[in-house]
Amino acid sequence: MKKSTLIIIGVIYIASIVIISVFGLVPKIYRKVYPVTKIECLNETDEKTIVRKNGDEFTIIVKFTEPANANDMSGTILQLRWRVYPDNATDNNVQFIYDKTRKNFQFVQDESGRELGTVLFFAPATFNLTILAADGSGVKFNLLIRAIRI
Amino acid sequence: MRALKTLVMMQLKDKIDMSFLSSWKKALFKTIFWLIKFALITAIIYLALYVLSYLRVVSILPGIPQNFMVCVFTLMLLLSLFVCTVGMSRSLYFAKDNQVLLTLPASRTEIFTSKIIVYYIYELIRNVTYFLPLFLVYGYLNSQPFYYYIWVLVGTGILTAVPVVLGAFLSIPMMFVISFLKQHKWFAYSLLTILSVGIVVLVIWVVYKIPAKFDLFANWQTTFWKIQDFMNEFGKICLPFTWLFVMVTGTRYGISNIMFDSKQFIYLFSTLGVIVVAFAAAFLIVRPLYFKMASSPFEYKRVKVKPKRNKQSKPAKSVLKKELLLLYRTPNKMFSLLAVVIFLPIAIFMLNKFYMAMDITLLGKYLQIMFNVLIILLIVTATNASIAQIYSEEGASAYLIKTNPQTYVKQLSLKLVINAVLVSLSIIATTIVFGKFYKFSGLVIFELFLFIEFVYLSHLLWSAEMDFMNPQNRQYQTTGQHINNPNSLKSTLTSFVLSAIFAFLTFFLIGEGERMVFVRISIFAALFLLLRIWLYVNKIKVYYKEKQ
Repeated sequence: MKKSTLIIIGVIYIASIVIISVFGLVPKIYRKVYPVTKIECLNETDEKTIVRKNGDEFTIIVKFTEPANANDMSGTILQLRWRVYPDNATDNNVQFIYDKTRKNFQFVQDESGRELGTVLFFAPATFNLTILAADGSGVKFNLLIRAIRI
Repeated sequence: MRALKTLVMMQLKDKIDMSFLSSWKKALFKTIFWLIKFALITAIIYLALYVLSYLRVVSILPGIPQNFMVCVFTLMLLLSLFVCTVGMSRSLYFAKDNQVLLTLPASRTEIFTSKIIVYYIYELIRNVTYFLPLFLVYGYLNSQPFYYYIWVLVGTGILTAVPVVLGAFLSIPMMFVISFLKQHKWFAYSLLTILSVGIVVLVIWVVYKIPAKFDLFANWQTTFWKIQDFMNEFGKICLPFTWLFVMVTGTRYGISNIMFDSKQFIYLFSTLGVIVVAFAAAFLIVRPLYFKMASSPFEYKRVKVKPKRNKQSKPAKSVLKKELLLLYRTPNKMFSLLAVVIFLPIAIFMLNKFYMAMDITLLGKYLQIMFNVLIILLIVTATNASIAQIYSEEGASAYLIKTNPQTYVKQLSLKLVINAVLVSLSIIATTIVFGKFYKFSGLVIFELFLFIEFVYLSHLLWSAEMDFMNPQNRQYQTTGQHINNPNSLKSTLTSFVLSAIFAFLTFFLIGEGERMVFVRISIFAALFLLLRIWLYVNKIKVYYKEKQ
């Protein structure tokens, strides 16, 4: 049997599980609302950032090299990574609360206006950020972000 | 240099069909066909990655994350490395053309270098067909700048050299392994049996790990993070592959793309360094070994064969015995057939384990039965691609059919018996597994078996008919293989069409109950089989009478 034939059969094999999951499952009405109980920031120290955890204090230090460019997404950029608990929370979206009057950094938004956790730094900056659960549970995660020349 | 070019072109003709170079029309047709194939592969990859990106299956951010692509890339490159190592071992040490090449007016270094270049070109064509679309789609979905697409072309060329030179270097231990296995066939077969049993046990263990109830959508968030953790760990363990990937595509950081930073240049120069060192090592170590192996005179080698008494058998038994011997002496064919025979029931067992873990509606049950039928038919009929070359494979020996003291129909049909018997046994096991999951009665399982068996046999005869109506003996006569056998391609296409038709028929008729659907479809399949038998027999009578 040719490799391409095997691949196609493999694709149909896996696709069958997905198709049956979409069209053949018994509909379940999830009446119970699962609120967010915890938000965790997953960023770790790498070549661009230093992450410091000191009890409740969570600080991300970004090495500022050159001003960010929103057109080609180059320059000093921080990508926040987070996780919402529990995994089956009814609404696992988050909002980013920060001082929007500041001009030396900017949060990237997608076409629908949703912030993606990507921060563009136009100049060195220090600010407090709160990652807030969007389901109204009030659960949040506070961190300090500092973009400095090292 | 001229000698090197000639050597490369000579050896390339064996690996790639270069007949299109003889006329501009053929070259144009070949180019258009290749472009269509490239576009189709790119479109399929784009569709798959677009769905993953749109549904946020592998990332919460838009686009395709780097860690996911590293997993895919690693698997493809490892496969490429393995294929290159085995292929280079065969080409350098065991190819019959080595002795011929050494007699040509070219230096030994040119001959050795030509072998590496031929393999590089062959791998480059393969990588341009499969790796390049992957990189292009990754770049498009991640909004890469225009210079990414230019760099990716260069990167693919550099990437191709990695498995080729590493394969040349690793060919030394591989050569010893292949030699040992060739000389000790009992060990080779024992090892293969142990490996096969191991794989079967592993698959059954994995199948039993599938939870009793599995709701993909309810448990999606947990599954998503498990996928994320797996991909991150995978990237850390397979770091060299991550570096190679970054060398070609740059770094993806969140939704931003970083190209031509210091990291990418370090990986680029390291890769070039590895290629140079591996090539130098191959040149210094592999080259002398290659010449030693290539220089061994094969014409005077005497292979000791134990004399056996020539027993007279009935004509039918003789043909079957010959076919069994041919199958045994063609390990690729034998293992390929046995793999399908053994893994088909296991694959259906695993599939139904997944299905049974779902809480489904009646529509879901009908879809499950339809997909079971589709996958079983696809696998069993796809094996007939080898039947579509069974007569042509004999090459110049095809004339021997006229010397056999039995009818053409009987002779040609007997060649199909071994495949038919082995696959039929697999169909029996598979239909029992399938039937047990859905609590079919014994009678329904029997009807199901008849239906699948009739479809399989119809396609078997149809594929055999394709071969003797459009014989490819000449290609097999000269090279021993046919890279793009049109009959095998036709057989594969008809297997897909036939499987789809019968699967849809099953789905549309299943509402009347399992008993009725399989009785009706079995009757339809039986009529189709009778038609194919009639066509097969009559075409043999017409064709062989014409040949006379």
